[in-house]
Amino acid sequence: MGWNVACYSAAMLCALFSTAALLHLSGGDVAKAFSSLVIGAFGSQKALLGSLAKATPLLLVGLGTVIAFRAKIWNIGQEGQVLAGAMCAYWASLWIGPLPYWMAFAVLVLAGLAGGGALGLLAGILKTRFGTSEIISTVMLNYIVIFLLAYLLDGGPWMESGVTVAYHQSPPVNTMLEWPTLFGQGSAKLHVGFLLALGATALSAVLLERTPLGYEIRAFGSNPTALRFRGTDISRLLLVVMLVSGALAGLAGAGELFGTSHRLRAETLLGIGSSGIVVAMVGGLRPSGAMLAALFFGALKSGAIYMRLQSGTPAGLVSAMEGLVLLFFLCAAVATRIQVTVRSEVHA
Amino acid sequence: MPINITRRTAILGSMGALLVSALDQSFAAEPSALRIALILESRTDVGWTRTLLDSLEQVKQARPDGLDISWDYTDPLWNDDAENAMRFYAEGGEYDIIWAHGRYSDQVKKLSAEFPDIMFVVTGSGNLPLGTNQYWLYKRLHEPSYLLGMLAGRTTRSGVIGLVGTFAADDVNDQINAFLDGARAVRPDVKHRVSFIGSWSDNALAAEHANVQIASGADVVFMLTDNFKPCQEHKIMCFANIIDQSKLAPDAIASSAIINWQPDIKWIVSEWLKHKPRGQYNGNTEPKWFSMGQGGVDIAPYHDFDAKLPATVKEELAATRQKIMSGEFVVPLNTAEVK
Repeated sequence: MGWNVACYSAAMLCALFSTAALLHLSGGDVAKAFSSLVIGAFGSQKALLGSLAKATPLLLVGLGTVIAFRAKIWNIGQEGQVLAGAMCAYWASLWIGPLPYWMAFAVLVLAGLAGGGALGLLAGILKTRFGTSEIISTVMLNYIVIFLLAYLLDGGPWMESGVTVAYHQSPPVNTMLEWPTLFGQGSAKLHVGFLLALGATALSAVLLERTPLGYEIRAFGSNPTALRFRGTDISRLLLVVMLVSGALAGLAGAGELFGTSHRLRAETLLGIGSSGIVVAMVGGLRPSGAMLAALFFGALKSGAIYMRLQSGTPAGLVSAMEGLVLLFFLCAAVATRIQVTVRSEVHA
Repeated sequence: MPINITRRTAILGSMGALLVSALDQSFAAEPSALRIALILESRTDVGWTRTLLDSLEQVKQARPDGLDISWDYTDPLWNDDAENAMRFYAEGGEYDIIWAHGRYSDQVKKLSAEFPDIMFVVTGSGNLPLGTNQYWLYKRLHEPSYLLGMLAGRTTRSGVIGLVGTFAADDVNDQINAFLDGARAVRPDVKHRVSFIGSWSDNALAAEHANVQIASGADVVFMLTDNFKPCQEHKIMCFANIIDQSKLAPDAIASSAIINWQPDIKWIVSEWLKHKPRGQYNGNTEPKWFSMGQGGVDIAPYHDFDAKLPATVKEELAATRQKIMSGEFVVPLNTAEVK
């Protein structure tokens, strides 16, 4: 335990020093940049809400990734699954009639889960039926979803029509269907998706650590052959993992659409999937770790704007910081597996 | 010696004092400085942004109404990052105008009521007509595009002209339609190849589209994107838009349909001066644009092509330009998507 803490602390320090070096080399004021980053992330209630709002989709995608990667099922189609969840929820919003708000909200949540889950399940079916590598199929499905969305928004049925509008975006969603706000108002608010993400964290932890399914997921990751001899239906397990993993990413997409951006547009959703994978990896493939990592990266994303405006830090440095944190945390993960044993010879 | 003040003198004196006081307050309230925060959607070397910064510099030198104009700008920002930056500038209280140079009305919508004293400016298509303290500027390049189309019609040998567009947005479609109108005005049998790359900045894809058009017979291409390599490689004439791009490919770009933001900036400044003392703005809900005659757009010089183009063609273009400037000839504004 102590060794693990030491490794990850060293990784964080290395990431900070490397970023400081980059800032210094680019002519920036290191102290001002870091202080403005912290103020931008935590310096006020609005800043804190902004950080939590940014962390919400990352946490959901991260949890989905944790579940898949713990089974050593390499679902890397989160980008497409986020989009699929948003698209499915948007499609549902077009058909929702005059339902009570809570029912409409439930429909949108389920639609988001279904959209991402269906895409994950499809990759799972390709794997179990045809032996297609999930790495290949999930990545290729990303492209299919992105181009499907491009079709729908560029001349397709979801394109916003108007006098001066012909972009890759939908009209704003029905304001009656926007997700409720927990705290804040205007542009600085935290929507109910954050609570869903916290609930998903708890459920994921229970699932992985306290249920037979969680045991099977972990066992599949460490020794699938033994699990097969135990009598577990491997295909069914793989499909369930892909379904759950994709569904969580899909919920992230629905939340971003109805809680934050309120307009279906690829550019607001792209990048969440890949950042979510980073969150899962940095979080050590544990739900609690993913939550901490999501909060960290959410704060980084939120504070980065303030840092850029206050200290003139180049935009690219924020992405570089994310990359450095991932790199050092992966090194730390490898280092935690190293055991140093001191042997002392006993002389008779 | 006692001073005798009559009632009339007292009343007149009081009125005079009040008038002087009011005038003094009025003069004191006259703003002397204008600070603008710019939210940019593209790098400063991209035409849409570069033209704005150049125009701001020129207006600053002119000091309209004696104002000392200054500005700060961001790296390219979109979506909620742009919104956070706007909030940062608005809460700081240092800026009178937040000029969001692109499609930012979704973000302005969330902030405008919270900051009613700040004037928000958005530019281009894709924005919402919010009114109140949002002002909406537009650029119509159909007039210079018509002139470039005439030049294309006069110089094409194959009779096929190409157009590579970004998005089929209405402020892209107007240029394409006008370009084709101009070409057909001088050569009615001209054929066209049109394609949209679905991006503002994918220059590699733009080159692919241009190469396909050239391969299918186009020998003059209107590149509404920023890649002119295909024209150079095939040694054909190209046209550019937004900013004079001749330096990028002097051997290929004959001219460009160019933007000048000075009339827009001056109008915004005048609106700000008009409404600032009252604290209430009256933002336009119909996009505001300035024509060629008003100095909002024009065509760039021919540069290296000046010696290559026939004098009769240049004279014809100059005459048509003059007619457009004077209002004698009105270029049709057609925003329908060309297939």
